[in-house]
Amino acid sequence: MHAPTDSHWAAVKRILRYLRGTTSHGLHITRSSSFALHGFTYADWAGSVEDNKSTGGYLVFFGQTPISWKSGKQRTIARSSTEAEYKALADGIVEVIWLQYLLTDLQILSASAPIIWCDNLGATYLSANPVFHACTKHVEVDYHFVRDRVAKKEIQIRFISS
Amino acid sequence: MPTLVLQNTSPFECLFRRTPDYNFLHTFGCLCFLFLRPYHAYKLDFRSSPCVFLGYSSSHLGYRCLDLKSDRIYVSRHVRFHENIFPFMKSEQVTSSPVPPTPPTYLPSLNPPPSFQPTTYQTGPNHNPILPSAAPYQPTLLPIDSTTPSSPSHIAILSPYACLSNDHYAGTGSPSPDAHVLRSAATEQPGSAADHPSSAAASPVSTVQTSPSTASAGLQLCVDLSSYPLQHLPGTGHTSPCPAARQHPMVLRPRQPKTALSTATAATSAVSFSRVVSPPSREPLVFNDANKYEEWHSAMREEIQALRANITWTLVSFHPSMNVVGSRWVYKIKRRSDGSIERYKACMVAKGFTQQEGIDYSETFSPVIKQATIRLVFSIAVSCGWKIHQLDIHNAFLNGVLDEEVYMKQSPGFVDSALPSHVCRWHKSLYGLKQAPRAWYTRLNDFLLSIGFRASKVDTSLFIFSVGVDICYLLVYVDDFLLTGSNSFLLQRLIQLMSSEFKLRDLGSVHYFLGIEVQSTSMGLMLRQHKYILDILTRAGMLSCKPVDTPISTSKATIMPDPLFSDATLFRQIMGALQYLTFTRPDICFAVNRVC
Repeated sequence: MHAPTDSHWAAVKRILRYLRGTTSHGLHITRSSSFALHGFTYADWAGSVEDNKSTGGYLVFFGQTPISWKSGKQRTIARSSTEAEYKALADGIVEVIWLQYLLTDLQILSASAPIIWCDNLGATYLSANPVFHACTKHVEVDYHFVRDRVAKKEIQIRFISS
Repeated sequence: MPTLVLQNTSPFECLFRRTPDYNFLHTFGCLCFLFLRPYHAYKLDFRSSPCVFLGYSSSHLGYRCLDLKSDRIYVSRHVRFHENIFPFMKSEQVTSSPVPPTPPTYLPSLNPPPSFQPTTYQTGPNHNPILPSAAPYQPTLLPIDSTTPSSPSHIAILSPYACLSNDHYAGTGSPSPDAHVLRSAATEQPGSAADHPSSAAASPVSTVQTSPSTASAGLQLCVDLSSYPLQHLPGTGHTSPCPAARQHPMVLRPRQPKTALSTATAATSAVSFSRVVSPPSREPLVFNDANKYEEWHSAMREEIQALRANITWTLVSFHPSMNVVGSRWVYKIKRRSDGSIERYKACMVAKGFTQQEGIDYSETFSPVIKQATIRLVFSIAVSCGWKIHQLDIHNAFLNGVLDEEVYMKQSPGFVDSALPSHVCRWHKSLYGLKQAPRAWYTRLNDFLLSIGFRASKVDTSLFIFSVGVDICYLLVYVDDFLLTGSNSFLLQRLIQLMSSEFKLRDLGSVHYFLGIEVQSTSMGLMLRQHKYILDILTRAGMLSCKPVDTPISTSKATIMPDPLFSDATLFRQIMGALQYLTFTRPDICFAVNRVC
């Protein structure tokens, strides 16, 4: 955004061309009998060509109507697709919790717990199995630990051919 | 020109104590011989040839003469005049026998000319371009010449109304050879521009302009010229040999017979007065531009009256310790959906960028409704079959009460004449002040809580009103409200309560909110940003582009040294607009985020 290049503009033009063909598209808010929340989360692993950060996103439905969505680059670099998906899942859960608060404020009560759909088995297991929590935590902390040491020149990393 | 006021002497004579020299002036259209030696390549050429006197050069001290043989125009100081011989009179006598003579009163036709040829001197040898332009003002010259032969009557041609003002002279003079010149013009150019007052009006242009002009430009110019003082005219400023001549249009102008103008002439005069008469079609940027129009002026008066009615300020004397904020006017034409003008709106805003934090303002944050909340409430309302009201607060910010002391200059154009050096101390918030949205929100929040609303904890712009089983939701986006609820009587009651406190309009069912078109369908509601998309495409110049099926390329981009895009501002504008477009378009969310 701060230094747009020609390829950025080409991407914008692609979006505009898509919009040209879909100007009448919109958001259809339909009647729904159920007031339950459910959401979908997704992430592309290492999608950014500049810094290899992943882009995560979520889409939350209220009944049959999509009401909240977001797509954004993750703040940290995921070392596996499971990690990226897991972060997107965490963002989606934060949003769903916020919407639950909002529904409580609006005095709309939903009996069932919200369901989040995630296409990564590993992330699903991680969320279900507390054992793996330690593993991911270790990976993330370890990663930052190594970088910190390299930056302070307390350790050197060298290449060795196999 | 001699006037009665000065005992039949000319102002020039009064001023310089001598009579002006009229010897430079000669009869228009007469035969003349000018010294052509400077124009010839060989000294054995004829020293002169018969010419017709056309007028006075705008850039030389000399006469403009048309060579009858070569159709070329020469300018020379050394001319011999034969003021009793008119070469074009002969041609009229030869050709005009079957043609009825043009009435000398020269009534203007009501029809505009079918085609108006620009009068140029560089035309072919067979076409005499001078006559149509020369003819129309001739009647004016004719009586003047006959009654006051020594007056500098050639200046009369500079008024576009000269052809009409011949009413003043008609009958005072006897027919003279000049009238035949007029007739010959009408004869040689039947149905041409010579018949029409607009061309008559344009004819001065052809005499003062040396370069050919287009018809419209000529028409415009001649009207403009007529409203200028004569010394601005190129044809008179330098070469007029007689300063007294300058007074002539000043005499003529008050006589402009406006009521007697034909439609064609009226149209041309409307061009020059369009700044004043016609309604403004664009929004001015500065006060001085807007003040010329009555519409904007009345809009500003309305705004000032609204401000005064709200007691938004008091005048206090200026003290150097005050940080005085400037103010300006913002003008907006409110249009209906079909593009016609609904009203002119003038809005006074403060130049808040000169405010200093800690002195003029402290907190500025003001919440607005979150997008997800809007969609969630829409969804609930549709599912429950509730009606969604849209409310609009008039002059919302003026309801906000300022905690801080804010001083402002008196608004341009509405300075108190008794106390011009005083400054306004503002009590109410005003557009442009940093704390204005916050002051308005605080005021609204206090009021809504006082009538029984409850602010949501997770979205502070959402207010909830619940009585028993009935519930109402109020969404606040600065001065745009959405109100929905289970009980329509309760909704009406709440609208009444709010309108008792604020100037409020109930726009009925929501159909256009924050640039989003809301359309009810059999299944529920359709939220679209169709107009917004078209605006973006127009701004990017891609309205006629070829559509594609996907918003982003599937091939992965490679890192390459890429030249910077030339128009970064346009890029950012489009990106900002696209980000707002994701309000109703989750499908482009990823693509937009990827580009950012």
